[in-house]
Amino acid sequence: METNPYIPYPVTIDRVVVENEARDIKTFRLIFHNAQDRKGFDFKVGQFAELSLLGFGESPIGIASSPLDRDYVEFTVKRYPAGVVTNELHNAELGRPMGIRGPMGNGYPIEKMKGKNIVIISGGFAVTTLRAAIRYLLHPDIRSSVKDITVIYGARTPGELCYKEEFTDWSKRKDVAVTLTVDNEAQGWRGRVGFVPTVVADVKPSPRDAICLICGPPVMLKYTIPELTKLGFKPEDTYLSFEMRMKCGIGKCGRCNIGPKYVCIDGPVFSLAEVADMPAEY
Amino acid sequence: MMTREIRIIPLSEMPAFVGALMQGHKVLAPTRNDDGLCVFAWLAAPEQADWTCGIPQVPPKQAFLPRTEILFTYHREKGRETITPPPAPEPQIALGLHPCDVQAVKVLDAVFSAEPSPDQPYLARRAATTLIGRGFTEQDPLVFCRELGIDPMDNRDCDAFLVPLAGGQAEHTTSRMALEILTDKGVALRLAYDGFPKAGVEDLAAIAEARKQSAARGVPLLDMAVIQRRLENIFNSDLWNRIHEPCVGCGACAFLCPTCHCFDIQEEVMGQDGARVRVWDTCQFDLFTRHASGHNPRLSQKERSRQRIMHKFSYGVGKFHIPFCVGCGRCIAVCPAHNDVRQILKEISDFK
Repeated sequence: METNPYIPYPVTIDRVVVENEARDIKTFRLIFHNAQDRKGFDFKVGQFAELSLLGFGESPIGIASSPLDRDYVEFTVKRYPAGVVTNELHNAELGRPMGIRGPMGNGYPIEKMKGKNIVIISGGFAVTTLRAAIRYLLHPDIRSSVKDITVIYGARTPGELCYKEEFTDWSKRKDVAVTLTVDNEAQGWRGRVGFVPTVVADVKPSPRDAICLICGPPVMLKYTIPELTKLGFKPEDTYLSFEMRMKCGIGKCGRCNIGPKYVCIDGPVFSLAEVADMPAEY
Repeated sequence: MMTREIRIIPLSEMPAFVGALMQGHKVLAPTRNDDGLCVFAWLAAPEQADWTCGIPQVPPKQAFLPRTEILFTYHREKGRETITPPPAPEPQIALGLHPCDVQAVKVLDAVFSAEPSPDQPYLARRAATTLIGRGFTEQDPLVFCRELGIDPMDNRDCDAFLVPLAGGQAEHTTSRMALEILTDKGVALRLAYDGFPKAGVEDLAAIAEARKQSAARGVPLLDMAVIQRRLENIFNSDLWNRIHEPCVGCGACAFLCPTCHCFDIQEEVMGQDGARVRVWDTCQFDLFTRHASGHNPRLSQKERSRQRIMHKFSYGVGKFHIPFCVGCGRCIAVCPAHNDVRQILKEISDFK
């Protein structure tokens, strides 16, 4: 008989990092109670999971750590005033038991990315699964499987940039070209100033032999995608990741579809070519 | 389907047969509620099964997808949580299903058995269920299953099937049921049917005649392929303005639809104990798709009405090659705004 896909793996909150000045974005490191469950939770970059808090409910969240971070998984969660699960999670203490179900969804096209130049563009808090992608691609065992890596990451203010230490470290590396930007001048900020679409037009990442992964708020996507098109990135080689209200995460409960595609099992990652075929209901 | 054997049960003996089925099984069957309305419900006594019902207003999907279903229970203490899966489902019988309701079970089977994650709670209930269909010679005016290619005398996908037979030559009222045993699960009911006589030559002729007459009542089929193709091209059409206009968003059409299966997952908490439960939900509600951020991709009733029709006649067909509508007519009967899915299908077919 099949196993019950609604029963979460038991995990414990092992570490919490406050990611932004507004203190409404935190990264939770979760440790599996049973080591074999971590093996069972065999995920790919870009997949997500349902975070389960008994008594509160579940919330679908992208996996922010790399599959090669073998001892734990991390999720970066924004607290919304209406979010029952995200509020409880943000109030949680270290050692709190909880659960996760997954991994779910398709993930980024890792196989297709092999041997290619990789361009990663993100804005604000949407960077989470792209952080997983960068961590994964920069792993010593993986780095040589792709060519150049270009990263452009922006936020409204320096205080809203997530994973600040990591991005600072990556900025110093020779094997990845990182550009950080904020919307307006800010005291102590020595990086670029400008909206992500403008910076993309300025940095001019090459579309040659490239796969582009892009995640950000709708307004960033709206103005960045035309810039990418101008630069010559092909829709079938440009990927974005959707968010949608979900319950089951396994294609049954019926709410996360965009046209015939279920974000939970057919996505959350879609190429722009696929998105062009979808009705604009997202 | 190969019929294993056929028994004849006089209508007056049906309570005895149902009573025997209730030995060792929960039995879901058409019955009348306190208001006299026909509904599928779990029987407390054999006499409650009502053979005068047409298509009961409440569908039989609750046998496999209960209105409220415990996915697991839990106990919480500080720093420690334990989860207990629900007990395995008891053997159960879904009795007296119209062939269109049997087709609806096929739809649910397709959705809940689909990879990558077959739905174990559903499949466990389904495996524990024996399906006894029932043929109909009369058709309620709201039922349009024939237009969808479903013959009300068809016994396919059933474990056993009841064919209503009239008594003497001048009689048209059902006086007995021919019980066709079709599968191993059907044969497993032997203790309940063994006392009834095997069908004689005249019975077999009557059954064959009933099927022949039913098959002869040909109606023009709805071209579901045309409807599906058309829907692919009219997502942004004005047609949806017309269709959603009268809709009040009550969701009755979905709750009473035998194929609608969308659900919510909720917490039920009592002190340190609780349960995660699955409950029926509907795409007709605002909250169904509203994000915690407040964003809602299906903001108005227009998008939600469109989703319902698209899911039934386009997305479902594309993915599972079976329409998510069986022509039972329940949604037409209950809609407070008199929206009629037959009319909607006609408008889609005629849309230029």
